[in-house]
This record gives sequence, C-alpha cells and structure tokens, in this order.
Amino acid sequence: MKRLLVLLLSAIMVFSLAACSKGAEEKPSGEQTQTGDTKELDYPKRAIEIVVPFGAGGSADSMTRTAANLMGNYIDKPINVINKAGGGGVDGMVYVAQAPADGYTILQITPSHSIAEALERPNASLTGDFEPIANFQKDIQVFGVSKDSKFKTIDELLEYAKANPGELKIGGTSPGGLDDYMANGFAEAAGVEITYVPYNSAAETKAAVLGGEIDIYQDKVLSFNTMVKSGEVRPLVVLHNERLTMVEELKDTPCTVEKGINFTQGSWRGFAVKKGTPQEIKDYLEEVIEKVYNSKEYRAIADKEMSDIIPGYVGQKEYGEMWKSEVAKFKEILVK
Amino acid sequence: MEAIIQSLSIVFGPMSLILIVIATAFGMICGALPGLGPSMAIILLLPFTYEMDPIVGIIVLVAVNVGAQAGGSISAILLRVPGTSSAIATTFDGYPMALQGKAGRALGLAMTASAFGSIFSALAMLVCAPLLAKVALRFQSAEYFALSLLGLSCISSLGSKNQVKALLSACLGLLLSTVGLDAINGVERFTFGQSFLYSGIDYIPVMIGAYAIAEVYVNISEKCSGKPEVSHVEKNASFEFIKIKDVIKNWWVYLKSSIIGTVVGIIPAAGGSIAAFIAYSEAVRSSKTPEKFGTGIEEGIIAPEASNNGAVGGSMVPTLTLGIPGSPTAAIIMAAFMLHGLTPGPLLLSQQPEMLYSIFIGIIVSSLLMLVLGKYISIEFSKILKLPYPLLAVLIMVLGVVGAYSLRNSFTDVLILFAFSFVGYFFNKFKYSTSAFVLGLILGEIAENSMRKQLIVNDGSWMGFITRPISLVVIIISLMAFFGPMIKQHKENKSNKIIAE
Repeated sequence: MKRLLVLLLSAIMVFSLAACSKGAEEKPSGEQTQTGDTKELDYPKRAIEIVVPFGAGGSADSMTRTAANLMGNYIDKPINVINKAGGGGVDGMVYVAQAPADGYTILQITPSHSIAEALERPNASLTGDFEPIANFQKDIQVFGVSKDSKFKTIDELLEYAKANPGELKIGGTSPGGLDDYMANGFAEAAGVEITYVPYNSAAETKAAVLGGEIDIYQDKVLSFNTMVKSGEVRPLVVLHNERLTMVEELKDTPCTVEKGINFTQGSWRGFAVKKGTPQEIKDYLEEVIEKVYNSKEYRAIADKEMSDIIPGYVGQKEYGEMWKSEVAKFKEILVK
Repeated sequence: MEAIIQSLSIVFGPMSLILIVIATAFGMICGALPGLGPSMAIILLLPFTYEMDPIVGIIVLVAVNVGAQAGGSISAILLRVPGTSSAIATTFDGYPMALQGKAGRALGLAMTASAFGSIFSALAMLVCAPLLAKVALRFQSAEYFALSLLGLSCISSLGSKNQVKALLSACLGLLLSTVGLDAINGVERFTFGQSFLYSGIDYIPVMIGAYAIAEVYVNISEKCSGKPEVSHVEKNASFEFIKIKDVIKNWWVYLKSSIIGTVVGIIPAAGGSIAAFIAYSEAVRSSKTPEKFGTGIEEGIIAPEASNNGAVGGSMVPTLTLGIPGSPTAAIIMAAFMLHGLTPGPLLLSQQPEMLYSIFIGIIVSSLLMLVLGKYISIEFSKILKLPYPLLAVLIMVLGVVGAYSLRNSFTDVLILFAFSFVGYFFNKFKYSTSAFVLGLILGEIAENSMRKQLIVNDGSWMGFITRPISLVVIIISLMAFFGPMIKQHKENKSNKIIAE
C-alpha cells in the first residue's frame, strides 16, 4: 500500500515536470495538424494561446486580457492568455518562435520587441521571425514636471536645458527601452542635452519626480493624467502632432510639433504570429481583431480607460511596414 | 464622524463580512503555497470584484493581501518552504522552533505578530496618511541604498558562528545579483549570450531550491546513512494562541518591527521581504542574547512577521494619498481602483473619506479573522506532516517545482531551482550561510541600482549619501549593526584567552 502511494506520488512529480516542458514536446503533433491542412479553413479546432511577454497587471497584459475576452464573442474555442515575462519581452518571443506556425500561439507585441531587434539582442528578430496580425492600441507620451517645479512652460524648460546641458534629469523605466528612446529622441530634436535616469517601475519614477530627485516626468496619457488630476504634476508637452483636445486635463498642453520639435512617439500594442503561418489563418485572426476593435463592448471600455484616444487599429499590411520603420528609428537613436 | 458610521455599515454588512472571511482565508492559502504569492492571489480574485460595490471590492483585495502575507509563514515554519518572499526571514527561527516540537507555538506567534503588524499599520495609515506620504517622498535613491545596506548588515548576525563564511556567501549572492541586463545602461553582464539569463537570476526559485529542496536532500541523506533521526517537526502540531501576557513581554519587538514594516512599506521600491530582513536584523542588533537567533527564538519569528504585515498598511499610504503604489501588490489594487472609475489621490480622499475608513476597518477585521482562521488553516496544513517522509519529500519537491515554474511559466526557473538546491545542500554541509547568500542576491540589485542612480543625479558626487540626513542616519545604524557582532565576538575571544591563560 505504502509503496503504491510512493509510486503514485513520484508519478505525479514526473508529470508535473513533464507538464512544465510541454511547450517543447507539443511541437511534432502541432506540425502534423499543419501539414494536414486543407483549402477550407479548418481553424480554430482547439484553444488558442496568446502569449503576453510581460508580467501580469501591466498595460500590455490588461490590453490582451480585454481583447481575448471579447474575441471569445467571435471564436467558439477558448482563448487563453498566458504571461511569459523576462528578458524585456524576449523570453516570450522565443517561446512563440519555438511553437509551430499554425496560428494556435499568438504573440502580443510592443515597441520593446522592435527595440530588441534594433539592439540586435540574440534570438530577437521581430521582422525576421514573425508576421503581423494587427495593432490594437496606440499610446501617447506626455512630459511634465512636479507642481513645485520652477518650470511653468516647455519653453522655460528648454531654455534652461540649453544653458545647462545635461543638468536636467528625466526619469523612465528600463535602460535602452522605449522611455530612454523617447527622452533622447526628444532632446535631440529639441537640440538640448538631458540626462536619462532609469527606474525599475513607473511608481518609483513618480516618487522620484515628486521627491525632487529628477526634474522631468514622462508617462503614457492614462497614467500621466491621474497625476495631473490629483494636482501633483504639471503637464508641459505632448509627444504628438496635435493637441489632445479630447482630454480635459491636457487640452491646453502644447504638442511637440506645434513647438517646432519634430518628434512624436508613443507606445503601441498589437499581435503577431510566427512566420510561415497560413495566410487564411492570419486573415481570419485579423478580421476577428478588427471586429473586436469596432465592437460596442470595446468602445465602452476604451472610453472609460481612455485607451483609444488616437485610433489604435492597424491592419496586417500597414502593421508590417510600421514594424520596419520603428526598428529603423530605434536603430538611429539608440545604437550610437 | 458620519463617514466612519457609513464605513462601519459597509464593512459590517452581512455580505461584505462573508466576503472578507473568504478573502482572508483565500489569501492565507495562496500565501502558504509557494508560487501563489499575494500578487497572484489578488489577480485571481480581481475579476470577481468588478461587480461589487467599489469600496467592498477594494476591501476584499486588501484582505487577500493581509491574509497572504501572514499565510507565507505557515509553510515557512512547517516545511522550511517560504510561501512568499517576505516569509524568508521567518524560516530562520520558525523552522528551528518547529524542530524543537513547538510548531504550534511558532504558528501562533507568526499569526499574532502578523495581526499586530497589520493593525498597527492600519492605525498609522488612518492617523497620519498625508504626513506619512511626505515621509515617503523623502526616500530617494540615496535612502534606498542606505536601507538596502541596513538589510545587508544583518549578514554579520546571521553567521554569528562563522562570520567569514557568512560574508563569503553574501558576496556570492551579490555577485549573482549582477547577472543579466544591467538596469542602468542596459549592458549584458554574465549572460554568455543566453537570452534566459537576460532578466537575471530570480530569487524565488533560488530561495525555494536552497531552502526547501536542500532540506529534503539533508533528510534523505540522513535516512540513507542510517543515522538516528536527529529532529523532526512534530506530527501533531496544533495551533497555540499566544497569551496577551506574552505579547506584553515582547511588546517592544512587536512595536518596533511594525514601525519598520510600515515605513519600509510606504517606500515604493521596497516591500515586505526587505522590511522583514531589516526588522530581523534590528531585533538581533538590539537583543541581549543575539547568539540565540537562528536557533528558534520567539523574537526571531515576531520581528519578520510583524514587519511584513506592517508593510501591507504602509504600502496603501502612498497609493491612497499620492496615487503611487507602495508595492507591486498595491499596484494591482490601484488598478482595481481605476477599473471602478476611481482615481486614487488627494481628491479621492476628500471626496470619499469613507474609502480610507473602510480600508482601515477592513484591515483590522481581516487581521482579527486571521487569528481565528490561522488555527484552522494551519491545522489543515500540518496534516501534511503526518505523511510518511518519502511522500512528504515528494510533495515538497512538487510544490517547489510548481512554485518555480509558475513564476514566469518558464522551465529555466525549474533548472535554476535544482541548481541552487545543490548549492543550498553543500552550503549547509560545509556551514556556509544560505540566508546570507539569498540576502545578497535579493538586496544586491537594489543596493547597486540605487547607488548608481544617486551618483547619476548627483553628477558623480558621493556626498549625497552623507549630506541627506535620513541616508546618513541609516548608514550609521547599518555600520553599527554590521560591526557590532564582530567587535563583540572579538572582545569575547580576548577575554576567553585571558581566562585560558
């Protein structure tokens, strides 16, 4: 009896180990289904997995969960969202690149992936290993200062920065990431020099600007706006080609283009599949995502979360071109 | 006053009371299972709060957090598997105490200290949230560095028997904390071109491997070598309620650790695990019998548990007053606020004062519930101990593997788990300090990054560490805590020599 139990439990242990490496083992069976593909679209036959290469609770994760939830209205198979964080988005990318190109494993992507490619990180080639489905959300970056700051307008700030190169500090998350790019790209376009200080999280950056450790605070519209509403932060400039008149708190904030600073950039979040996925499957997924994007349910959520201030949907073809231009831009600023 | 009555009626409504009981119990169970920490527990419950009244929803999530922070101690004490990262310090004295056959008392102490810590931090939050928020902003890079130094200073007390080996272990931990992409310049360090090393070595699989799995190896090798069984956690551990008299006896440890926990919790970059280390090292430093720490002493359980729960209320302070989450867990709670269309910050506090009171009452209710629930949940958990050892060992291994894997859904972490289980085993065997090693690994990153950030913002000058008052005081305390035990030992050796002569 006791022996039997021991056996049983060691079997459980072995299975739990095996379950962990499931991704690798599934490969051959997946390929089989692909070769047996007929002309009529026989997809999806089983659950679809969307891999978020970032931690749970972040903006990429919540976007994907919202979208996956609504995709359920159009696809009668389950859609599972899993997080594979690590390596600045590369770990999840590698995982999807190792799965079969059958459309059952979708990668959620952000500028981090184009940046990883621009920096030539190993195993990270977005344009080389993946094909676009669609973009879903676009974000705008806003720069501001603490309410106690001596700078009232962007002109005052730039004037000071010109007189004292490198003295002003701007915070952000992740070195060599999107925030770094935006800080440096803005400074270059404005002809000034500012020092970039990377923090571990947006919360730390906020605390640093309110505590006076750094001078300039940058964030996405949504999280920036909460700080403006509470009166802690004064917005100075929006990195966009027109004023955000639809946002109450930011309607009087100038944008970079009107100030003669030719630099606009924001984050974006979309979906991709492994290169070699059949065109019909890609078209099908693109169509579903477009339906979700235009659905009443998503409109309601987007209005509430202000996640669709500028139209975020980009179709397959344009999205692929966007990848290429993003990678080229990042290469220019980040690789010196 | 009206707001208080209103919030009382919200919290003590029959439905919300039931929800708080469920949430606290759920949190404790998640906390006790390695891999399902407080953040995961909250994410799992988040969808259920969408339809609730916003205030009730937030209270439920806070109750989960309170429960999870305390639940981590159950597996730390019974199995030497820290259920959450903030329960690592609890294993130092909790497990030895359980080996002495006092598992029930250890659990009781942990629950009492946890309840004390969260109630204290809730009081602090209620009475002086705006003031505390100002304090939080005083903590910048220089202070983060000083705090991590204070946490590291506990190395010298962890290895009171062999300080050189403890120091060596800590240095190894510090070295491993530099693996991966450097957080300031984005340069690859010790990655050998392997993308799985980019994000560095996470301390959770290391910790589970070096403590829990290594302990399994130790037990197996003892059994195989036919040595008589040295010690085991008693099979019928029953929860022991701690008498108020005993709490009063140690009131200073309870209070001091709760204060440390609350303050550290307020700071965005530091959470419960660092609070627990700092409180532990402070308890050792101020103790009359520091050599007894690590052998199963009561203060060694009270200090980390009171402070990691103190961090719960603490982390809510900047979340509510500034809209800056004080911990990753608080960040998820803040996301819940946003989902309900509420924006945390000074505006919310003046418009909806009942929110603050309700959270305050919610924390107190769930802390008290925790004491009662702790009895039943820990009895259920201690049933595991009745299993014959081979089964228990398999169970611990499974829990460990699942815990490591679920962290990032990555098999690499499972490999790291096993690699470090051997490190832990040999550290034990040759009397190196696993705790000092893990401490170095956890704090190394914060220490390095905050030091370098301070140098960037101060244009390369080191003076910031000395000219900022909080940083200076904390650095002095940590130097005292670091060198104190060494000087004491040196003196003792001298006097022993004199006696010998």
